[in-house]
Amino acid sequence: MIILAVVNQKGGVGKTTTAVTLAHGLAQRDYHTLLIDLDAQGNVADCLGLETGNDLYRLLFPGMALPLAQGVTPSGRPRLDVVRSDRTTTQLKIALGAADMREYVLDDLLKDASYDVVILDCAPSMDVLHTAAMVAAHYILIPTRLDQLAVKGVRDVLTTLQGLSRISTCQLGAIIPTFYDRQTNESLLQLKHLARHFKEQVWPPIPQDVHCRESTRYGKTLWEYAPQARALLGYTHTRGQSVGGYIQMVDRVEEVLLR
Amino acid sequence: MSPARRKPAEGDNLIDFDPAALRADPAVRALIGQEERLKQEARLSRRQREKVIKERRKIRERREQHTCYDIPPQLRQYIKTLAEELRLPASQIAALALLRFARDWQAGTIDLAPYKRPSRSPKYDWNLELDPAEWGV
Repeated sequence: MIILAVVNQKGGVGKTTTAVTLAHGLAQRDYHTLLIDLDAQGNVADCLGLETGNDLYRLLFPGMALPLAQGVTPSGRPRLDVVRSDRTTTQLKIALGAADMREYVLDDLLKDASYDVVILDCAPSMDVLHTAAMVAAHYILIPTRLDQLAVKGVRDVLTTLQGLSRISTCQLGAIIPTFYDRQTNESLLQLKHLARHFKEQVWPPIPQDVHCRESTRYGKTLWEYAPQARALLGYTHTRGQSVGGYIQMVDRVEEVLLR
Repeated sequence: MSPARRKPAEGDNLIDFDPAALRADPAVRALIGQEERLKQEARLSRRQREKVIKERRKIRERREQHTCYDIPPQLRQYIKTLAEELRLPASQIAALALLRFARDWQAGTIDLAPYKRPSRSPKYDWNLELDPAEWGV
């Protein structure tokens, strides 16, 4: 089992869309996948067309925690289960703040999980669940918009990861540029800058695509709502191959992280 | 000046990272290369841009005519020298030679037997062994 945490301390960079699209993409490729929403906004359930729920609260509340198998919700898609989140996650974080060994709550929860891949969708903040995710995960994936503030968020995540090195073996899996806009110099400049520093850990970018927002409104994943969307297929390169997009991201996850 | 024509200033006030010594993802490299080329073209004058587009179209049209065969360097040099002497494109001489060969082959006037040697490759049954003395023709 591989645990991937989708993190960036900056909000609005496409973490939830990336986590949901990746989870459903892997499930479609026959990986038994669990998607855990660690954000009190409960947007993972919205993206999958489910009611928000307190699954996470029931699974992690100190002293009352249920076993994983009793707390997951089927997503309605083959091989994809989900642990939903809602406002009770805020109470959970307060309760965990006073608990011993709080950094290990997710690690303990997932110890005996029978999934091929677990994806943790983190909140855009530095809290106890964020730390627990980075302790439990094998790799972090950092989606980032190609602008100065979001790229600063990348640096903050890497600083946090470095700070946790005594209790976590989590490594940087990839930086995933999102909302890539070919029309602006800033996107290209920031992409080049990231690629220069992180080399092959910067994966091909996800093109900006209105289908991402629309699919959320209908409670469908991109694979269901717009299988021909540019955000999935990427750009067509001059030699005819596709570059970027979520399909290539799922390919990379399979090639690089799930080997 | 339109934003597309403006040359971006690199290295200005960007977030600093510790350098890591790995290679860039090939798809990212390809995308950056393509974007840079497009941006460069956007900075050209209309006439220069039209020229670039025309050249690219010509290259694309000729792509199907391109092929790559390994031939002995002496033979290649001979075709090149001949092309210069006759003031003809070398590609057209090579095309004519291949056409003549194909016609002779169809007419049964060419025998490959003296050249054929068994191949150890799983892909081919035979190799044609040419006499190095004949390469220079």
